[in-house]
Amino acid sequence: MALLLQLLFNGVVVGAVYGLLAVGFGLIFTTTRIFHFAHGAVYTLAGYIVYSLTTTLGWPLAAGIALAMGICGVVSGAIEVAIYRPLRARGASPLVVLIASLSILMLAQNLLAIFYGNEIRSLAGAVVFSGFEAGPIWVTSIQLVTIATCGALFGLLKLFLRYSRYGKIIRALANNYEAARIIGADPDRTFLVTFVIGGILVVPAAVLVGMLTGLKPFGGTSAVLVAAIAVIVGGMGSIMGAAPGALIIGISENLAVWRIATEWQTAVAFSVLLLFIIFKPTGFFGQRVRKMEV
Amino acid sequence: MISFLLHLLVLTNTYVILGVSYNLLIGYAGLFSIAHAAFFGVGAYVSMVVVLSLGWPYLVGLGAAVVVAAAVSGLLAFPALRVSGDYLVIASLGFQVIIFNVFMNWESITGGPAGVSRIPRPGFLGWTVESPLAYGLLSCVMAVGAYLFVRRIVSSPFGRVLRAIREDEVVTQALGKNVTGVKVVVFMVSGGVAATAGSLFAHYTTYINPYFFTLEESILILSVVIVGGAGNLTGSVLGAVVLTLLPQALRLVELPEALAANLRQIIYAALLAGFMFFRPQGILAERTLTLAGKD
Repeated sequence: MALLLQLLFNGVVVGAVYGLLAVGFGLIFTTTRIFHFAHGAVYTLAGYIVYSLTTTLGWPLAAGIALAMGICGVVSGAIEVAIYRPLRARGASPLVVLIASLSILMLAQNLLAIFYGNEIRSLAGAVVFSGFEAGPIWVTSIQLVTIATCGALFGLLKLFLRYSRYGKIIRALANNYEAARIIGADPDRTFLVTFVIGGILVVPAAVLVGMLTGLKPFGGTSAVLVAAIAVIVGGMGSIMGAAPGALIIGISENLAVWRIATEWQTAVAFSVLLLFIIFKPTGFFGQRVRKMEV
Repeated sequence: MISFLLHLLVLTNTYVILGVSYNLLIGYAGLFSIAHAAFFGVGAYVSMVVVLSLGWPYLVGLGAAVVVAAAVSGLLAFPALRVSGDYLVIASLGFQVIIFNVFMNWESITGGPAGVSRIPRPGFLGWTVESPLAYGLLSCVMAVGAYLFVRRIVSSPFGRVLRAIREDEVVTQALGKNVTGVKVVVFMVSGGVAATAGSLFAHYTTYINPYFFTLEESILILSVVIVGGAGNLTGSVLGAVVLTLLPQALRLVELPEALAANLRQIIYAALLAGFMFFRPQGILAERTLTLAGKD
Protein backbone atom coordinates (compact mmCIF):
# COMPACT_ATOMS: atom_id res chain seq x y z
CA MET A 1 0.00 0.00 0.00
CA ALA A 2 2.84 2.36 0.90
CA LEU A 3 4.45 1.51 -2.43
CA LEU A 4 1.26 2.33 -4.26
CA LEU A 5 0.99 5.71 -2.52
CA GLN A 6 4.62 6.43 -3.29
CA LEU A 7 4.13 5.61 -6.97
CA LEU A 8 0.98 7.74 -7.02
CA PHE A 9 2.89 10.67 -5.54
CA ASN A 10 5.80 10.24 -7.97
CA GLY A 11 3.22 10.12 -10.75
CA VAL A 12 1.74 13.43 -9.63
CA VAL A 13 5.19 15.04 -9.65
CA VAL A 14 6.02 13.75 -13.14
CA GLY A 15 2.52 14.63 -14.30
CA ALA A 16 2.97 18.21 -13.09
CA VAL A 17 6.13 18.60 -15.20
CA TYR A 18 4.42 17.04 -18.22
CA GLY A 19 1.60 19.48 -17.53
CA LEU A 20 3.87 22.50 -18.02
CA LEU A 21 4.95 21.18 -21.39
CA ALA A 22 1.46 20.16 -22.34
CA VAL A 23 -0.20 23.44 -21.40
CA GLY A 24 2.30 25.38 -23.53
CA PHE A 25 1.86 22.99 -26.43
CA GLY A 26 -1.92 22.99 -25.96
CA LEU A 27 -2.09 26.78 -25.78
CA ILE A 28 -0.27 27.01 -29.10
CA PHE A 29 -2.21 24.18 -30.70
CA THR A 30 -5.69 25.32 -29.67
CA THR A 31 -5.02 28.91 -30.71
CA THR A 32 -3.02 28.50 -33.90
CA ARG A 33 -3.96 24.93 -34.96
CA ILE A 34 -0.23 24.39 -35.55
CA PHE A 35 1.09 21.01 -34.48
CA HIS A 36 4.18 22.56 -32.95
CA PHE A 37 6.74 19.73 -32.86
CA ALA A 38 9.47 22.34 -32.57
CA HIS A 39 8.17 22.93 -29.02
CA GLY A 40 10.45 19.99 -28.20
CA ALA A 41 13.38 21.85 -29.78
CA VAL A 42 12.81 24.90 -27.58
CA TYR A 43 12.48 22.60 -24.57
CA THR A 44 15.80 20.86 -25.28
CA LEU A 45 17.49 24.20 -25.89
CA ALA A 46 16.13 25.52 -22.57
CA GLY A 47 17.72 22.73 -20.57
CA TYR A 48 21.12 23.21 -22.18
CA ILE A 49 21.06 27.01 -21.81
CA VAL A 50 20.46 26.64 -18.07
CA TYR A 51 23.12 23.93 -17.94
CA SER A 52 25.69 26.14 -19.64
CA LEU A 53 24.89 29.19 -17.54
CA THR A 54 24.87 27.44 -14.15
CA THR A 55 27.38 24.63 -14.55
CA THR A 56 29.86 26.09 -17.03
CA LEU A 57 29.63 29.79 -16.20
CA GLY A 58 28.70 29.33 -12.53
CA TRP A 59 25.65 31.60 -12.52
CA PRO A 60 23.07 31.20 -9.75
CA LEU A 61 20.20 28.94 -10.81
CA ALA A 62 17.55 31.67 -10.63
CA ALA A 63 19.54 33.97 -12.92
CA GLY A 64 20.13 31.11 -15.36
CA ILE A 65 16.43 30.29 -15.46
CA ALA A 66 15.49 33.94 -15.96
CA LEU A 67 17.85 34.41 -18.91
CA ALA A 68 16.80 31.05 -20.40
CA MET A 69 13.16 32.15 -20.18
CA GLY A 70 14.03 35.28 -22.12
CA ILE A 71 15.98 33.42 -24.79
CA CYS A 72 13.41 30.66 -25.19
CA GLY A 73 10.55 33.14 -25.43
CA VAL A 74 12.42 34.89 -28.24
CA VAL A 75 13.38 31.62 -30.00
CA SER A 76 9.83 30.28 -29.83
CA GLY A 77 8.49 33.58 -31.17
CA ALA A 78 11.15 33.56 -33.90
CA ILE A 79 10.00 30.10 -35.06
CA GLU A 80 6.50 31.50 -35.49
CA VAL A 81 7.69 34.61 -37.34
CA ALA A 82 10.33 32.93 -39.52
CA ILE A 83 8.68 29.56 -40.23
CA TYR A 84 4.96 29.38 -39.56
CA ARG A 85 3.94 32.88 -40.59
CA PRO A 86 5.44 32.69 -44.11
CA LEU A 87 3.99 29.20 -44.58
CA ARG A 88 0.59 30.49 -43.46
CA ALA A 89 0.86 33.42 -45.83
CA ARG A 90 1.30 31.12 -48.81
CA GLY A 91 -1.60 28.95 -47.71
CA ALA A 92 0.40 25.84 -46.82
CA SER A 93 -1.64 22.83 -45.72
CA PRO A 94 -1.51 21.79 -42.03
CA LEU A 95 0.60 18.76 -42.97
CA VAL A 96 3.19 20.92 -44.71
CA VAL A 97 3.42 23.03 -41.55
CA LEU A 98 3.66 19.87 -39.44
CA ILE A 99 6.53 18.44 -41.50
CA ALA A 100 8.33 21.80 -41.39
CA SER A 101 7.96 21.80 -37.60
CA LEU A 102 9.19 18.22 -37.35
CA SER A 103 12.27 19.10 -39.38
CA ILE A 104 13.03 22.07 -37.11
CA LEU A 105 12.90 19.65 -34.16
CA MET A 106 15.33 17.24 -35.87
CA LEU A 107 17.62 20.04 -36.94
CA ALA A 108 17.82 21.62 -33.47
CA GLN A 109 18.29 18.34 -31.61
CA ASN A 110 21.10 17.18 -33.87
CA LEU A 111 22.85 20.55 -33.64
CA LEU A 112 22.60 20.38 -29.85
CA ALA A 113 23.86 16.80 -29.91
CA ILE A 114 26.94 17.90 -31.88
CA PHE A 115 27.51 20.79 -29.50
CA TYR A 116 26.87 19.07 -26.17
CA GLY A 117 27.50 15.41 -27.00
CA ASN A 118 25.10 12.50 -26.74
CA GLU A 119 25.68 11.69 -23.07
CA ILE A 120 23.25 12.65 -20.32
CA ARG A 121 24.04 15.90 -18.49
CA SER A 122 22.66 16.43 -15.04
CA LEU A 123 21.52 19.72 -13.59
CA ALA A 124 21.39 18.19 -10.14
CA GLY A 125 24.69 19.72 -9.04
CA ALA A 126 22.90 22.92 -8.15
CA VAL A 127 20.42 21.53 -5.64
CA VAL A 128 20.51 19.36 -2.57
CA PHE A 129 18.39 16.24 -2.73
CA SER A 130 17.19 16.30 0.84
CA GLY A 131 13.97 14.58 1.73
CA PHE A 132 11.68 13.58 4.58
CA GLU A 133 9.05 11.02 5.41
CA ALA A 134 5.47 12.16 5.07
CA GLY A 135 3.43 9.31 6.53
CA PRO A 136 4.14 6.21 4.48
CA ILE A 137 5.90 7.96 1.60
CA TRP A 138 9.27 9.60 0.99
CA VAL A 139 9.18 13.14 -0.31
CA THR A 140 12.21 15.01 -1.65
CA SER A 141 12.55 18.77 -1.65
CA ILE A 142 12.87 18.87 -5.42
CA GLN A 143 9.52 17.10 -5.73
CA LEU A 144 7.87 19.72 -3.52
CA VAL A 145 9.50 22.52 -5.51
CA THR A 146 8.21 20.88 -8.68
CA ILE A 147 4.63 20.72 -7.48
CA ALA A 148 4.72 24.27 -6.11
CA THR A 149 6.28 25.71 -9.31
CA CYS A 150 3.89 23.93 -11.60
CA GLY A 151 0.86 24.82 -9.49
CA ALA A 152 1.87 28.49 -9.41
CA LEU A 153 2.48 28.62 -13.17
CA PHE A 154 -0.84 26.93 -13.95
CA GLY A 155 -2.56 29.49 -11.73
CA LEU A 156 -0.82 32.40 -13.43
CA LEU A 157 -1.65 31.12 -16.89
CA LYS A 158 -5.26 30.57 -15.92
CA LEU A 159 -5.49 34.18 -14.60
CA PHE A 160 -3.77 35.49 -17.73
CA LEU A 161 -6.20 33.69 -20.01
CA ARG A 162 -9.22 34.78 -18.00
CA TYR A 163 -8.53 38.42 -17.26
CA SER A 164 -5.83 39.89 -19.50
CA ARG A 165 -6.56 41.50 -22.84
CA TYR A 166 -4.44 39.02 -24.79
CA GLY A 167 -5.80 36.14 -22.76
CA LYS A 168 -9.28 37.05 -23.90
CA ILE A 169 -8.20 37.44 -27.53
CA ILE A 170 -6.42 34.07 -27.37
CA ARG A 171 -9.56 32.38 -26.08
CA ALA A 172 -11.67 34.13 -28.68
CA LEU A 173 -9.42 33.02 -31.54
CA ALA A 174 -9.24 29.49 -30.17
CA ASN A 175 -13.00 29.36 -29.83
CA ASN A 176 -14.00 30.78 -33.17
CA TYR A 177 -11.28 32.02 -35.46
CA GLU A 178 -13.47 33.71 -38.07
CA ALA A 179 -15.73 35.46 -35.58
CA ALA A 180 -12.74 36.70 -33.58
CA ARG A 181 -11.20 38.17 -36.70
CA ILE A 182 -14.44 39.94 -37.60
CA ILE A 183 -14.44 41.76 -34.29
CA GLY A 184 -10.86 42.86 -34.86
CA ALA A 185 -8.53 40.27 -33.29
CA ASP A 186 -5.10 40.33 -34.92
CA PRO A 187 -4.13 36.67 -35.41
CA ASP A 188 -0.47 37.27 -36.29
CA ARG A 189 0.21 39.27 -33.16
CA THR A 190 -1.83 36.98 -30.91
CA PHE A 191 -0.17 33.87 -32.29
CA LEU A 192 3.19 35.45 -31.53
CA VAL A 193 2.08 36.01 -27.93
CA THR A 194 1.07 32.35 -27.52
CA PHE A 195 4.41 31.16 -28.95
CA VAL A 196 6.35 33.43 -26.59
CA ILE A 197 4.34 32.18 -23.59
CA GLY A 198 4.82 28.57 -24.71
CA GLY A 199 8.56 29.20 -25.04
CA ILE A 200 8.78 30.67 -21.56
CA LEU A 201 6.80 27.80 -20.02
CA VAL A 202 9.17 25.09 -21.27
CA VAL A 203 12.06 26.49 -19.22
CA PRO A 204 10.83 25.41 -15.76
CA ALA A 205 9.82 22.05 -17.26
CA ALA A 206 13.26 21.56 -18.82
CA VAL A 207 15.01 22.54 -15.57
CA LEU A 208 12.87 20.23 -13.45
CA VAL A 209 13.42 17.30 -15.83
CA GLY A 210 17.14 18.16 -15.92
CA MET A 211 17.19 17.82 -12.15
CA LEU A 212 14.95 14.76 -11.88
CA THR A 213 16.42 12.66 -14.72
CA GLY A 214 19.08 14.67 -16.61
CA LEU A 215 19.32 16.38 -20.01
CA LYS A 216 19.51 14.44 -23.26
CA PRO A 217 19.88 16.00 -26.73
CA PHE A 218 16.98 13.90 -28.03
CA GLY A 219 14.75 14.24 -24.96
CA GLY A 220 12.68 16.84 -26.77
CA THR A 221 11.00 14.31 -29.06
CA SER A 222 9.48 12.25 -26.27
CA ALA A 223 8.68 15.44 -24.34
CA VAL A 224 6.68 16.93 -27.19
CA LEU A 225 4.96 13.59 -27.83
CA VAL A 226 3.90 13.35 -24.19
CA ALA A 227 2.67 16.94 -24.40
CA ALA A 228 0.64 16.14 -27.50
CA ILE A 229 -0.80 13.03 -25.87
CA ALA A 230 -1.77 15.05 -22.81
CA VAL A 231 -3.56 17.54 -25.03
CA ILE A 232 -5.52 14.74 -26.73
CA VAL A 233 -6.32 12.97 -23.45
CA GLY A 234 -7.31 16.29 -21.87
CA GLY A 235 -9.41 17.13 -24.88
CA MET A 236 -8.52 19.30 -27.83
CA GLY A 237 -10.17 22.68 -27.63
CA SER A 238 -9.71 23.00 -23.90
CA ILE A 239 -6.48 24.92 -23.20
CA MET A 240 -6.12 24.04 -19.52
CA GLY A 241 -7.50 20.52 -20.04
CA ALA A 242 -3.97 19.49 -21.01
CA ALA A 243 -2.92 19.78 -17.34
CA PRO A 244 -5.18 17.01 -15.99
CA GLY A 245 -4.39 15.07 -19.17
CA ALA A 246 -0.70 15.26 -18.30
CA LEU A 247 -1.46 14.24 -14.71
CA ILE A 248 -3.25 11.11 -15.95
CA ILE A 249 -0.24 10.17 -18.08
CA GLY A 250 2.28 10.81 -15.30
CA ILE A 251 0.25 8.75 -12.82
CA SER A 252 -0.45 5.86 -15.20
CA GLU A 253 3.23 5.69 -16.20
CA ASN A 254 4.24 5.41 -12.56
CA LEU A 255 1.45 3.13 -11.40
CA ALA A 256 2.30 0.81 -14.29
CA VAL A 257 5.67 0.18 -12.62
CA TRP A 258 3.74 -1.53 -9.85
CA ARG A 259 2.69 -4.38 -12.13
CA ILE A 260 4.92 -4.34 -15.22
CA ALA A 261 8.66 -3.98 -15.75
CA THR A 262 10.07 -0.44 -15.94
CA GLU A 263 11.42 -0.97 -19.49
CA TRP A 264 7.86 -0.77 -20.75
CA GLN A 265 7.18 2.56 -19.04
CA THR A 266 7.59 4.64 -22.19
CA ALA A 267 5.05 2.50 -24.00
CA VAL A 268 2.44 3.17 -21.30
CA ALA A 269 1.73 6.78 -22.27
CA PHE A 270 1.16 5.76 -25.86
CA SER A 271 -1.07 2.88 -24.87
CA VAL A 272 -3.18 5.31 -22.83
CA LEU A 273 -3.33 7.51 -25.93
CA LEU A 274 -4.36 4.71 -28.28
CA LEU A 275 -7.09 3.64 -25.85
CA PHE A 276 -8.36 7.22 -25.68
CA ILE A 277 -8.29 7.62 -29.44
CA ILE A 278 -10.21 4.41 -29.99
CA PHE A 279 -12.75 4.83 -27.19
CA LYS A 280 -12.96 8.53 -26.39
CA PRO A 281 -11.32 10.68 -29.08
CA THR A 282 -12.72 13.91 -27.65
CA GLY A 283 -10.73 13.45 -24.44
CA PHE A 284 -11.98 14.42 -21.00
CA PHE A 285 -12.70 18.09 -21.37
CA GLY A 286 -12.95 18.63 -25.11
CA GLN A 287 -16.31 19.69 -26.41
CA ARG A 288 -17.80 17.40 -29.01
CA VAL A 289 -16.61 19.08 -32.16
CA ARG A 290 -19.01 19.11 -35.03
CA LYS A 291 -17.22 19.55 -38.27
CA MET A 292 -18.97 21.99 -40.53
CA GLU A 293 -17.66 22.72 -43.95
CA VAL A 294 -19.10 24.92 -46.60
CA MET B 1 34.57 -0.01 -55.51
CA ILE B 2 32.17 -2.23 -57.42
CA SER B 3 31.03 -3.91 -54.23
CA PHE B 4 30.47 -0.48 -52.65
CA LEU B 5 28.30 0.56 -55.60
CA LEU B 6 26.39 -2.71 -55.27
CA HIS B 7 25.97 -1.95 -51.55
CA LEU B 8 24.46 1.42 -52.45
CA LEU B 9 22.21 -0.33 -54.96
CA VAL B 10 20.82 -2.69 -52.29
CA LEU B 11 20.35 0.24 -49.90
CA THR B 12 18.60 2.33 -52.55
CA ASN B 13 16.34 -0.56 -53.51
CA THR B 14 15.39 -1.05 -49.86
CA TYR B 15 14.28 2.58 -49.70
CA VAL B 16 12.50 2.29 -53.06
CA ILE B 17 10.33 -0.48 -51.56
CA LEU B 18 9.77 1.53 -48.39
CA GLY B 19 9.09 4.70 -50.38
CA VAL B 20 6.51 3.29 -52.79
CA SER B 21 4.67 1.39 -50.04
CA TYR B 22 4.59 4.49 -47.82
CA ASN B 23 3.53 6.67 -50.73
CA LEU B 24 0.51 4.41 -51.18
CA LEU B 25 -0.55 5.31 -47.65
CA ILE B 26 0.25 9.02 -47.36
CA GLY B 27 0.41 10.12 -50.99
CA TYR B 28 -2.54 8.28 -52.49
CA ALA B 29 -4.83 7.52 -49.54
CA GLY B 30 -3.88 10.70 -47.67
CA LEU B 31 -3.56 8.77 -44.41
CA PHE B 32 -0.78 10.67 -42.73
CA SER B 33 0.85 8.13 -40.46
CA ILE B 34 4.50 8.26 -39.36
CA ALA B 35 5.30 4.68 -38.39
CA HIS B 36 6.67 3.05 -41.51
CA ALA B 37 9.96 2.03 -39.87
CA ALA B 38 7.89 -0.08 -37.47
CA PHE B 39 6.62 -2.27 -40.33
CA PHE B 40 10.09 -2.28 -41.88
CA GLY B 41 11.29 -3.59 -38.50
CA VAL B 42 8.49 -6.13 -38.06
CA GLY B 43 9.38 -7.52 -41.49
CA ALA B 44 13.06 -7.74 -40.57
CA TYR B 45 12.45 -9.41 -37.21
CA VAL B 46 9.80 -11.89 -38.38
CA SER B 47 11.91 -12.94 -41.35
CA MET B 48 14.92 -13.32 -39.03
CA VAL B 49 12.98 -15.42 -36.50
CA VAL B 50 11.53 -17.74 -39.13
CA VAL B 51 14.78 -18.32 -41.01
CA LEU B 52 17.36 -18.14 -38.19
CA SER B 53 15.50 -19.37 -35.10
CA LEU B 54 13.11 -21.82 -36.75
CA GLY B 55 15.41 -22.77 -39.62
CA TRP B 56 12.73 -22.60 -42.28
CA PRO B 57 13.40 -21.62 -45.93
CA TYR B 58 13.84 -17.98 -46.87
CA LEU B 59 10.62 -17.70 -48.89
CA VAL B 60 8.62 -18.87 -45.86
CA GLY B 61 10.34 -16.16 -43.81
CA LEU B 62 9.52 -13.54 -46.42
CA GLY B 63 5.91 -14.68 -46.56
CA ALA B 64 5.57 -14.71 -42.78
CA ALA B 65 7.11 -11.22 -42.61
CA VAL B 66 4.50 -9.90 -45.05
CA VAL B 67 1.59 -11.56 -43.25
CA VAL B 68 2.60 -10.47 -39.74
CA ALA B 69 3.47 -6.89 -40.79
CA ALA B 70 0.16 -6.61 -42.66
CA ALA B 71 -1.69 -7.77 -39.55
CA VAL B 72 0.21 -5.34 -37.30
CA SER B 73 -0.38 -2.54 -39.79
CA GLY B 74 -4.06 -3.44 -39.79
CA LEU B 75 -4.03 -2.77 -36.03
CA LEU B 76 -2.86 0.79 -36.69
CA ALA B 77 -5.84 1.18 -38.99
CA PHE B 78 -8.14 1.06 -35.94
CA PRO B 79 -7.15 4.44 -34.52
CA ALA B 80 -7.03 5.68 -38.12
CA LEU B 81 -10.70 4.83 -38.54
CA ARG B 82 -11.59 7.01 -35.58
CA VAL B 83 -9.40 9.99 -36.22
CA SER B 84 -7.46 11.70 -38.97
CA GLY B 85 -5.00 14.53 -39.50
CA ASP B 86 -3.03 15.58 -36.42
CA TYR B 87 -4.58 12.86 -34.27
CA LEU B 88 -3.46 10.16 -36.67
CA VAL B 89 0.07 11.57 -36.72
CA ILE B 90 0.26 11.30 -32.95
CA ALA B 91 -1.41 7.87 -32.82
CA SER B 92 1.02 6.53 -35.42
CA LEU B 93 4.02 8.03 -33.63
CA GLY B 94 2.76 6.29 -30.50
CA PHE B 95 2.46 3.07 -32.43
CA GLN B 96 6.02 3.49 -33.69
CA VAL B 97 7.31 3.97 -30.13
CA ILE B 98 5.39 0.95 -28.82
CA ILE B 99 6.74 -1.31 -31.57
CA PHE B 100 10.26 -0.02 -30.91
CA ASN B 101 9.75 -0.88 -27.23
CA VAL B 102 8.70 -4.39 -28.22
CA PHE B 103 11.91 -4.82 -30.25
CA MET B 104 13.93 -3.52 -27.31
CA ASN B 105 12.27 -5.48 -24.52
CA TRP B 106 11.05 -8.78 -25.91
CA GLU B 107 14.55 -10.11 -25.49
CA SER B 108 13.85 -13.83 -25.85
CA ILE B 109 12.75 -13.25 -29.44
CA THR B 110 14.44 -10.07 -30.61
CA GLY B 111 17.70 -10.18 -28.66
CA GLY B 112 16.91 -6.81 -27.06
CA PRO B 113 19.14 -3.76 -27.63
CA ALA B 114 22.11 -5.99 -28.53
CA GLY B 115 20.25 -7.24 -31.59
CA VAL B 116 20.67 -10.47 -33.53
CA SER B 117 23.62 -11.36 -35.72
CA ARG B 118 24.48 -14.18 -38.12
CA ILE B 119 21.19 -13.99 -39.98
CA PRO B 120 21.63 -16.34 -42.97
CA ARG B 121 21.67 -15.08 -46.54
CA PRO B 122 18.51 -15.92 -48.50
CA GLY B 123 18.47 -19.33 -50.13
CA PHE B 124 16.22 -20.49 -52.94
CA LEU B 125 16.01 -24.26 -53.48
CA GLY B 126 19.57 -24.93 -52.44
CA TRP B 127 21.02 -21.85 -54.14
CA THR B 128 22.20 -19.15 -51.71
CA VAL B 129 22.34 -15.47 -52.60
CA GLU B 130 25.84 -14.71 -51.35
CA SER B 131 27.85 -12.48 -53.70
CA PRO B 132 27.27 -8.70 -53.77
CA LEU B 133 26.23 -8.95 -57.42
CA ALA B 134 23.62 -11.62 -56.73
CA TYR B 135 22.26 -9.61 -53.82
CA GLY B 136 22.14 -6.49 -55.94
CA LEU B 137 20.08 -8.38 -58.52
CA LEU B 138 17.78 -9.83 -55.87
CA SER B 139 17.19 -6.35 -54.45
CA CYS B 140 16.40 -5.07 -57.96
CA VAL B 141 13.89 -7.86 -58.51
CA MET B 142 12.18 -7.10 -55.19
CA ALA B 143 12.17 -3.33 -55.75
CA VAL B 144 10.78 -3.63 -59.27
CA GLY B 145 8.23 -6.12 -57.98
CA ALA B 146 7.13 -3.74 -55.21
CA TYR B 147 6.99 -0.82 -57.64
CA LEU B 148 4.87 -2.68 -60.20
CA PHE B 149 2.62 -4.07 -57.47
CA VAL B 150 1.92 -0.63 -55.99
CA ARG B 151 1.53 0.91 -59.45
CA ARG B 152 -1.01 -1.77 -60.32
CA ILE B 153 -2.95 -0.88 -57.16
CA VAL B 154 -2.97 2.88 -57.67
CA SER B 155 -4.03 2.65 -61.31
CA SER B 156 -6.86 0.24 -60.48
CA PRO B 157 -10.40 1.25 -59.47
CA PHE B 158 -9.28 0.59 -55.89
CA GLY B 159 -6.61 3.27 -56.39
CA ARG B 160 -9.25 5.73 -57.54
CA VAL B 161 -11.23 5.07 -54.35
CA LEU B 162 -8.05 5.75 -52.35
CA ARG B 163 -7.63 9.14 -53.98
CA ALA B 164 -11.33 9.85 -53.57
CA ILE B 165 -11.02 9.19 -49.82
CA ARG B 166 -8.09 11.57 -49.68
CA GLU B 167 -10.04 14.31 -51.41
CA ASP B 168 -13.36 13.85 -49.62
CA GLU B 169 -14.24 11.00 -47.34
CA VAL B 170 -17.89 11.84 -46.94
CA VAL B 171 -18.56 12.10 -50.68
CA THR B 172 -16.78 8.78 -51.24
CA GLN B 173 -18.96 7.17 -48.60
CA ALA B 174 -22.04 8.71 -50.15
CA LEU B 175 -21.07 7.09 -53.45
CA GLY B 176 -21.40 3.75 -51.74
CA LYS B 177 -17.73 2.98 -51.26
CA ASN B 178 -16.70 1.05 -48.17
CA VAL B 179 -14.34 3.67 -46.74
CA THR B 180 -13.61 1.71 -43.55
CA GLY B 181 -12.70 -1.45 -45.44
CA VAL B 182 -10.55 0.41 -47.94
CA LYS B 183 -8.60 2.14 -45.17
CA VAL B 184 -7.89 -1.14 -43.37
CA VAL B 185 -6.80 -2.80 -46.63
CA VAL B 186 -4.50 0.05 -47.64
CA PHE B 187 -2.83 0.01 -44.22
CA MET B 188 -2.32 -3.75 -44.50
CA VAL B 189 -0.95 -3.62 -48.05
CA SER B 190 1.38 -0.75 -47.22
CA GLY B 191 2.71 -2.53 -44.11
CA GLY B 192 3.02 -5.84 -45.95
CA VAL B 193 5.10 -4.36 -48.78
CA ALA B 194 7.30 -2.53 -46.26
CA ALA B 195 7.97 -5.91 -44.61
CA THR B 196 9.59 -7.21 -47.82
CA ALA B 197 12.10 -4.36 -47.48
CA GLY B 198 12.69 -5.42 -43.88
CA SER B 199 13.33 -9.00 -44.92
CA LEU B 200 15.66 -7.89 -47.73
CA PHE B 201 17.55 -5.66 -45.30
CA ALA B 202 17.86 -8.18 -42.43
CA HIS B 203 19.30 -10.91 -44.64
CA TYR B 204 21.59 -8.43 -46.37
CA THR B 205 23.24 -6.87 -43.31
CA THR B 206 22.91 -10.25 -41.49
CA TYR B 207 22.62 -8.20 -38.30
CA ILE B 208 19.68 -6.21 -36.94
CA ASN B 209 19.01 -4.28 -33.76
CA PRO B 210 16.11 -2.04 -32.70
CA TYR B 211 18.01 1.15 -33.53
CA PHE B 212 17.60 0.49 -37.25
CA PHE B 213 13.84 0.95 -36.84
CA THR B 214 13.47 4.15 -34.85
CA LEU B 215 11.30 7.21 -35.24
CA GLU B 216 14.22 8.86 -37.10
CA GLU B 217 14.06 6.05 -39.64
CA SER B 218 10.34 6.68 -40.09
CA ILE B 219 11.10 10.33 -40.71
CA LEU B 220 13.75 9.35 -43.26
CA ILE B 221 11.16 7.26 -45.14
CA LEU B 222 8.81 10.23 -44.92
CA SER B 223 11.56 12.36 -46.49
CA VAL B 224 11.92 9.87 -49.35
CA VAL B 225 8.25 10.30 -50.22
CA ILE B 226 8.03 14.04 -49.59
CA VAL B 227 11.23 14.91 -51.48
CA GLY B 228 10.30 12.66 -54.39
CA GLY B 229 6.72 13.84 -54.49
CA ALA B 230 3.68 12.48 -52.65
CA GLY B 231 1.26 10.76 -54.99
CA ASN B 232 3.93 10.04 -57.59
CA LEU B 233 5.59 6.62 -57.56
CA THR B 234 8.47 7.57 -59.86
CA GLY B 235 9.06 10.39 -57.39
CA SER B 236 9.50 7.90 -54.56
CA VAL B 237 12.12 6.01 -56.58
CA LEU B 238 13.90 9.30 -57.23
CA GLY B 239 13.57 10.25 -53.55
CA ALA B 240 15.12 6.95 -52.50
CA VAL B 241 18.05 7.51 -54.86
CA VAL B 242 18.63 11.10 -53.73
CA LEU B 243 18.38 10.36 -50.00
CA THR B 244 20.62 7.30 -50.16
CA LEU B 245 23.32 8.95 -52.26
CA LEU B 246 23.32 12.43 -50.75
CA PRO B 247 24.73 11.46 -47.31
CA GLN B 248 27.49 9.52 -49.11
CA ALA B 249 29.04 12.92 -49.79
CA LEU B 250 29.86 12.96 -46.07
CA ARG B 251 32.22 10.06 -46.68
CA LEU B 252 34.51 12.36 -48.62
CA VAL B 253 35.51 14.02 -45.37
CA GLU B 254 36.81 12.01 -42.42
CA LEU B 255 34.33 12.35 -39.57
CA PRO B 256 33.79 10.48 -36.32
CA GLU B 257 30.81 8.12 -36.67
CA ALA B 258 28.63 9.92 -34.05
CA LEU B 259 29.16 13.27 -35.74
CA ALA B 260 28.46 11.80 -39.18
CA ALA B 261 25.17 10.36 -37.88
CA ASN B 262 24.12 13.75 -36.55
CA LEU B 263 25.13 15.46 -39.78
CA ARG B 264 23.09 12.96 -41.81
CA GLN B 265 20.03 13.77 -39.74
CA ILE B 266 20.72 17.49 -40.21
CA ILE B 267 20.89 17.02 -43.99
CA TYR B 268 17.56 15.16 -44.01
CA ALA B 269 15.93 17.76 -41.77
CA ALA B 270 17.23 20.68 -43.83
CA LEU B 271 16.05 19.00 -47.03
CA LEU B 272 12.58 18.41 -45.56
CA ALA B 273 12.29 21.99 -44.32
CA GLY B 274 13.57 23.35 -47.63
CA PHE B 275 11.06 21.34 -49.62
CA MET B 276 8.21 22.43 -47.36
CA PHE B 277 9.10 26.04 -48.10
CA PHE B 278 9.98 25.98 -51.76
CA ARG B 279 8.43 22.89 -53.30
CA PRO B 280 5.93 21.16 -51.00
CA GLN B 281 4.73 18.93 -53.86
CA GLY B 282 8.22 17.35 -54.14
CA ILE B 283 10.54 16.98 -57.13
CA LEU B 284 7.91 15.22 -59.21
CA ALA B 285 4.43 16.46 -58.46
CA GLU B 286 1.40 14.21 -58.67
CA ARG B 287 -0.05 14.08 -62.17
CA THR B 288 -3.64 15.12 -62.03
CA LEU B 289 -6.29 15.01 -64.66
CA THR B 290 -7.92 18.27 -65.53
CA LEU B 291 -11.23 18.33 -67.31
CA ALA B 292 -11.28 20.05 -70.66
CA GLY B 293 -12.68 23.55 -70.50
CA LYS B 294 -11.91 23.90 -66.81
CA ASP B 295 -8.82 25.63 -65.50
